[in-house]
Amino acid sequence: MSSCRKCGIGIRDESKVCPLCGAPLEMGDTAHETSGYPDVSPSIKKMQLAVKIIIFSSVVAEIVMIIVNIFTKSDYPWSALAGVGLVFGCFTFTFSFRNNRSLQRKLVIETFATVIVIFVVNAVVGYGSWGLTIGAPAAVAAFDIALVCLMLSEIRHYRLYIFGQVFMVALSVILAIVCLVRKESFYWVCVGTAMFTIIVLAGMIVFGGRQATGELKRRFRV
Amino acid sequence: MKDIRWDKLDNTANLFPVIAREGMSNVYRVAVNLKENIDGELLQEALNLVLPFFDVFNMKMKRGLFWYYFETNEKPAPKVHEEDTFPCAYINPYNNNDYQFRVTYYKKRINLEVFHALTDGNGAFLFLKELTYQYLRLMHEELKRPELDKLSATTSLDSEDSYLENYKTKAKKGYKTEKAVIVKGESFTMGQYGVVQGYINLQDIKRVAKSYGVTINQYIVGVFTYAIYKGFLKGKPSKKPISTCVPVNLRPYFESETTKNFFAVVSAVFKPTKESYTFEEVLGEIKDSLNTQIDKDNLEKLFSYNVSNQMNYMLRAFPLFLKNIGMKIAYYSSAKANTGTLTNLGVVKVDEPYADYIDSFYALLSMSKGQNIKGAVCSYGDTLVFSMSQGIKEMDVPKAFFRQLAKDGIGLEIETNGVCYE
Repeated sequence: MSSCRKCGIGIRDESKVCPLCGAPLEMGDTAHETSGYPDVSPSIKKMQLAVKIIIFSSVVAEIVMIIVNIFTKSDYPWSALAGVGLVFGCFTFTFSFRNNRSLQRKLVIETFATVIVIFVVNAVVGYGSWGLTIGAPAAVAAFDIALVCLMLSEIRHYRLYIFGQVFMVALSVILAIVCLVRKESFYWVCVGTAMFTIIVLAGMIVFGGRQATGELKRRFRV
Repeated sequence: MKDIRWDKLDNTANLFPVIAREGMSNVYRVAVNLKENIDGELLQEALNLVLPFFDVFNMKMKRGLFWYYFETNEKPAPKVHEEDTFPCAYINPYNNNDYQFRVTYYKKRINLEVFHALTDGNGAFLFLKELTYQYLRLMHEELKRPELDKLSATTSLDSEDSYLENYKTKAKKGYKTEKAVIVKGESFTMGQYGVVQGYINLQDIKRVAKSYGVTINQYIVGVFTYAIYKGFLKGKPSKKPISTCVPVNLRPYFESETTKNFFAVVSAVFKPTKESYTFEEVLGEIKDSLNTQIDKDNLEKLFSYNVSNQMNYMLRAFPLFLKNIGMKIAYYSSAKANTGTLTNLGVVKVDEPYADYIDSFYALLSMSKGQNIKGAVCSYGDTLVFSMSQGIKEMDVPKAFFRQLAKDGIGLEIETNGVCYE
């Protein structure tokens, strides 16, 4: 084993210099056999690089579109719409394309994000409140059907999907209430979606029995 | 269908899922060096056999509307593999069969890396020792004896929340927010950090600590503080104190054998107000600082404030995302109140038939907000292993630390994870 005369200590590393002071080491006779550490060279994670490239290109593309939109003196704010699409795309890529979250969680978060995007697009393009009456509830219904399909594909672990379904119910009920309070004439898509999500949740609880109620008790423990 | 077993997080554990992320994993390592190379397949088999006995480890963490909670994990044990990352890397449960710990090996070493929400170092050592015993029984014919084929008599499986069992209802705020010296330097890229381990002669350090009239723990914290004073502050006065977090195992004070977290953190404080201090002066201040804090009443006060918050009906009714915001604010406001952390896990003892196969144990901490330097200590046989982890490239503090030990006549050898040579 080598040693550093300056520091006065033995060095187990296979090195010619002291890791503490950089002085040359004196080589000894007996070496303490040690496991050491693997050589873990820092690697740039491909996914992190891809995320950086996509976000950077999106920002550049949006700036170019805003400039073109202004210089072409267009009355229509198409660059804002494109911007919303780019933000949603970047969010989906960074959140949902990574293999580090469950599909259920991705579905629930994507549902919220989609509803927000629909409202923003509706605000930009106008034409009444189609985002609230059709767009958002249709998106919730579509994502909920996907969640149910996912649950059926993993029927042994159905109870894991109850919490996600509770969020779907909450979202669709809020949309339905807003629709009714605003006295929208075209309210049946909202109300129908809320009824659909409630029925699915009720089915999960009824058919799930004690397992399902136990899961809900744990999830809602105060 | 059988009922699902579930459990609450203990009081300390509630914080860790809130602040954990890549770069601040809140994962620590306990490891054992054997005298022979590790067989990965047998280690996996040993883990499969031992894991079902340890409820604290055989769990996955789930998110409720108001609290996180643990639920029995029905998936197979996490895959044992050769060490291929920096120590204490972030554990993403989704890629780890939902478990909050990992087992890896490298040459003669078995590493157990644990997310702190599960348990503290004492709980982790219990699990590591049982895993090692089981591995050795599978590996060696002479250990395949019926009387050995069970959990050790010294292993506790108690998973009570000892914070709840022992807290006092009326307590004042226990954590401090006064800013301390922050050790700064050129940082490593995220997820990397430097490790310097000292294999120290236990008899030498006992003798030296005795000659200074302090305990081994006080001596090590004193040297750690002096190393920061000399290595980072260059022996100059500072308006801020050097404050070292010292976690204290509460089990002996409250007669607990829990395998969950049960520790409180005191701060060893030294404020260099004058021009120059000798090592003896620094050590004297550290001794006094620790002596005034480490008594049962004070330790009880330290954790009772947090537990009383957890038991407050008003606060309990806040949704989890609001609680998380509150805990993050409290954590970040006190994060810069400490320079570093030094934990002493004490003496590791193993059952007699296995002692011949084991060379040493060590523990290692990961980096956290504001603290670029940490140390972990444990001893086995005649060797005390001090593992220093640091988030900066400068070696001034470890150099000052190990040189002070050598100056005091303590025999030691060091080993690094190699990043200091890059």
